[in-house]
Amino acid sequence: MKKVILSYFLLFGSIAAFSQTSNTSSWFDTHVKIRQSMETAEFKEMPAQFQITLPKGDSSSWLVNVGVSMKLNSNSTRWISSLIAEYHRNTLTVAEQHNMQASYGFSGLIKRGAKTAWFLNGNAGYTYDEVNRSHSLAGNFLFTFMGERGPINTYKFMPDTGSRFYVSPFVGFQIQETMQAFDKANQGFLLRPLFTFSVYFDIIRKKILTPDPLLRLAVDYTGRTDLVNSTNTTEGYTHLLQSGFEWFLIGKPISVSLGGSFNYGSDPLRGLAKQQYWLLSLNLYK
Amino acid sequence: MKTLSLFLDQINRATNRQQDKTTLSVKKSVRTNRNLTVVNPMQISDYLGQHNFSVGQFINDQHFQERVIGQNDLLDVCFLRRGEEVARSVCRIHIHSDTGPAGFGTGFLIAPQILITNHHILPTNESAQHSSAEFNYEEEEASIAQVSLYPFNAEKLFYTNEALDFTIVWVDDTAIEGTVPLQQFGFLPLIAEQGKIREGEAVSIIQHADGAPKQVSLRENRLADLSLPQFLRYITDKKSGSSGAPVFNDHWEVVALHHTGIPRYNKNGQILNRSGNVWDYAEGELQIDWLENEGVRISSIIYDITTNANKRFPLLSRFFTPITDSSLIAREIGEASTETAEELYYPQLADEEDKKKYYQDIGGIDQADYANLQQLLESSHSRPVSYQPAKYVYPTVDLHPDGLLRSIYSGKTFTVEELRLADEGVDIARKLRLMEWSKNVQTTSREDYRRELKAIEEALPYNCEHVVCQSWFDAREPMRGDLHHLFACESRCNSFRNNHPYDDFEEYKPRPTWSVEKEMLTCGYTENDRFEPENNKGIVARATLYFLLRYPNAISVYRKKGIVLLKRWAKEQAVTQYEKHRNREIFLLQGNRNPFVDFPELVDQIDFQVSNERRAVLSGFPKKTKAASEVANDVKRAILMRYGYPDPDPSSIEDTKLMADFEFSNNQYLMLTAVFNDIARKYHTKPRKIMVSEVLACGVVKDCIDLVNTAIP
Repeated sequence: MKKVILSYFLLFGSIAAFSQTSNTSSWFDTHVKIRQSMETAEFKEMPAQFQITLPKGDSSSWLVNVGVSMKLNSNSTRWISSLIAEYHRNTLTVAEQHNMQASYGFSGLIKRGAKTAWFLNGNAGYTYDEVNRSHSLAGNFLFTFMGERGPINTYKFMPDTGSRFYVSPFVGFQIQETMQAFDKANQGFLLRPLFTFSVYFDIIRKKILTPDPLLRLAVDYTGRTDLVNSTNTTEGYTHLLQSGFEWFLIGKPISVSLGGSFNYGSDPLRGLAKQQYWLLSLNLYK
Repeated sequence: MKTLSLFLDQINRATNRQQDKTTLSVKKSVRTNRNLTVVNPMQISDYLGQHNFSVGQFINDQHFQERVIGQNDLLDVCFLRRGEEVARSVCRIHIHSDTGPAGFGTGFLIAPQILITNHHILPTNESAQHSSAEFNYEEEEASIAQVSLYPFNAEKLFYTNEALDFTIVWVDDTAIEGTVPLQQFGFLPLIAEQGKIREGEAVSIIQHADGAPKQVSLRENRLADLSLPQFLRYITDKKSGSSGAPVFNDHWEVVALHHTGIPRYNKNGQILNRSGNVWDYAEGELQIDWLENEGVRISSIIYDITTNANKRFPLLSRFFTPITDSSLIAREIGEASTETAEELYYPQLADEEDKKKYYQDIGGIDQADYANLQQLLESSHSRPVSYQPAKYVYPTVDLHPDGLLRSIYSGKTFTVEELRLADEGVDIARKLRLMEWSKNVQTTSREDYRRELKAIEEALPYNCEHVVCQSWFDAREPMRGDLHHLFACESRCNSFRNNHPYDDFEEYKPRPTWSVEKEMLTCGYTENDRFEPENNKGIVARATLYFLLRYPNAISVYRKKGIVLLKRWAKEQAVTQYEKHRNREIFLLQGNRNPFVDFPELVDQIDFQVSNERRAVLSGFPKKTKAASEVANDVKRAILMRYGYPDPDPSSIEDTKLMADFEFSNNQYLMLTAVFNDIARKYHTKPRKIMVSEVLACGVVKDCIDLVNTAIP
C-alpha cells in the first residue's frame, strides 16, 4: 500500500507542479524531464511508469521505473549536458530488478554537413544494483544522425497530417566497470557495442500546429554484445524488445497515457534479467 | 562516294590557291581570317627563322603549332560523309518562263516535298508551274549520274517573299524523269536558333553554279558579317547561278539561303571586274570581282513561314515550329534596336539600368561607405577571371571608341591582333626560357620552379599593365586577373614603370592632354622608386581606388599621402566614355563594377584608411539590411521545419507559441541552435554566437526571434 501511495503522490504531485496557465515556460519546464529512463538519447526516454504488472504465473505487484534529468547551462553552441538520476525497481517479474543510477548526460552536434547532421548522445556515471549488490561506473556513447526533414529523428507528417511517423536509429557502445559485487565473478570491465532502433507511429488527436498524439504504436529494439568482458561471467549477445501501444489520456503540459506492451529480453546495465512479460501501465511524460 | 572525289578536289584547289598569293581567294582569306597568321610551310619556315625556333620544336609541340598556324583546321572524317548525305537534298532548278527555258538556279528540300529557292528564281506561281527540280545532277567518274526530275505543284503550295528573296513550293513526287522516289533525297531541316555560326568561321555551300553539275565550295569561305538583321555575309568563291543554294556551317546545318553577291564598285558606283576595270555585262557574271556574298538568315525565313505563310497554307504548320525567342522575333519584325556605333560601344541606357540595380542593395549611393561598398564589390565579383589579357583585356574590355587599343601611359595605339600576337610571342619566349632553365638544373623543387617562373614572367611581361603592381600582392588571384586594374600597355612602358607606386613630381610636368585618344611617345617619369604617368592619371587613380576598396589591406603601398594623391588625380580628370565602356564590359564579365567610375564623387565620401586596418570593419558589417519581419519569418520557418513541416508557412505560428509544445529533443535543440546561428550570419558577417542554453531558455517563439535579433548587431 505504501508503494501505491508513493506512486500516486508522484504522479499527481507532478501534474500539479508542471501545469501552467500562462504562456511562458519556467526554468523547471525547460530544464527538467521525467522519463522511464535516460539511458542514452532522448528517444530512449520511455515514459516514467507507476504501474501494475501481470507476470506470467504470478500475482500482481508494483513497479517503479523513473528517471529525472536536469539540463545544465552550458556556454556552447554544440553541446547540451544534464544531470540524470534513475531508479528502477520491479519486484513483480520472474527476475527481480532493483537498480539506481546517477550520471552526467550529454548530447553533441559533432558534424553538420549540407544535408545531414551527426550527433553523439551519451552518459557516464555511477550505477548501483541492489539485486547483485554491485557498484559500477558505466557509460553509453551512441551516434545518430538527422536530415533536414523527417522521419529520422524528426517527425514526418503523413499527407493527411492526421498521423506522423518517427524513426530513431542509434549505434555505439556501452562500457561498464564493476568495481565491487556480491558475486566476485561479476567484477570486471565490459565493453558492449550496441545499437538501438526505434519506430513510432502516432495517430493525432487533433490537427493543430503541435498536435497531441491520441494513440502511439511503438517498437524499440536494442541489441548488444560483450565484445570485451573481463568478468567471470558470459553475456554474449543480449537484446531487449519493447513493443506496444499507448493511449493518451491527457496532453500538455503533462502527458498521461495508458499503455500496453510486450517486453522481451534483458538490460544488463540496469539489472534487468532476461525475461518476457506483458505490461499494462499508466505512463507519465513531462 | 562520287561526292568525296569532289571534296578532295576542292581541298586540292583550295591548297593551290593558298600557295598562290595572287589569287582572289587568298586575298580574301587574309582579309577576313584574322586568326590565320601563317598559312603555308614557307611562311611557317620564315616565322621559325625570324624567331630562332627549330623545325623540331614546331613539329614536337602541338601548342606551339597551334599558336604559329593560328588555328586547328582538323575535322572528323564524318564531316565528309555527312556532307555527302546533305548534298542529296540539293537540286538544280530548271527555270522556265512563258516563253521557254530561262536559266538555272539551285534549291533544296526543307521538308518532305517542300522546296526552297530564291524569289528571283521562282518569283510567281506561274513561273513555278513551268519550272521543275532536278535531283542527282552530279558528275560521277566520267559521266553524269542518273537524274530525277520532278514538277512543282504551285497550287498546293507556293509562297514567296520578295524582301527576303525566298520562295517555297510543293514538289510533286511523280517524277517527270527518273525512277528514284523523291523521299530518297531527304530534306534539310531548318533550325531557327541563333548562334549556329560566328564571324570568321567557315561556311560551305552546295550548289549548281551556272547550272553545272552539283559542286561544293568547302570551308574556304568565311562568315564575314553577322550584324545585318535578316541576312548574313560570307566570302566565298561561289559563282553566280547558284542562287537558292544552302549555306552550311561545319555541322552541316543550314545557316542561310544564298541569294546574291556583293560586287566591288568604283567610286562612281560602277561594278568592277576581276582585273579592276569597269565590268561590262558582256563579260558575264563570272568576271565580276565579287567582294562578298549574302544569304538570307534561316531564322528570318522560319519566322516568315510561321507567321505569314502558314495562314495561307496551314499544311506548313506540320513542318515548321513557330519561333518563341522574343529577341529573335523582335529582330525579325524590325523592332530590334538600331544601335549606332556609339551605342554599341557604350549602351548608356542599359548601363544606367544595370547600375541602378547593382547599387540598390546599399540603399542609395548617399548611404555608401567603405564597409557596404566593399561587401558589394566582393559579393558581386562572382565570376573572377584569370590573368589572360589576350583573352579578357584586349578583345573588348580595353577597346577605345575607334576600335583600337591604347597604352595607358603613352597613348600609343595598337590593334587587338598586334597585342595578341605580341603576347603570343611572349608566351613562346617564356616557354623557351623555362625549357632552357630546366635543362641546366639537376633537380627542381616546386618552389624553385615557381620562383623561376615568376622571374621569367617579370622579365617578359605581357603588354598589359597592372596599375596595382602584381608584386605588391604576390600575384595572387583574384587580384591578379581583376580586370578593373588591367590596361593595355606596351612592355616598354610596363618595364619603365617597374613596380613603382604613383607619385606626382613637382619638377615633372607631363603634357596635360587628359585625352586617352592622343598618342604620346613617353610613358612618364620615374625617380626614387616612384612613377608619374604621362597620361590618364585619373583613370589609373580610379582603378587603384577600386583595388583599395575591393581588397582591404591586400597592399600596403598607398598610405594617407598616397590616397590623397589618388583622390586628387581622380577628381582632376573626368570619367571618360572609355572608362564607362570598360566598366560595363567588366561588369558583364566578372560581375562587379568600379563605383568611382559610376559615381566619381564617391572618392571624397569613402574613407580609404579603413583599408589599412586589416578587415577590421569587414569583420562586422551587415550583409544585408536586417528586416525584423524577415528574421522572424526565418526563425519561425526553422522551428517548424525542425518539428517536421517540410515547407512551412511562418504565419501559421504565433509569437506566443510555447516552445515546450514542440517537445524538441536535445538533438533537435542542437540543430535549432545551429540554424539560428545560420540565420544570424545571413544578416551579419560576424554575429554574436547563439548558445544552446539560450535556445533552451526560450519559453515562447518570440523569445527565439528576439534571441536571433540580439545576435545580429
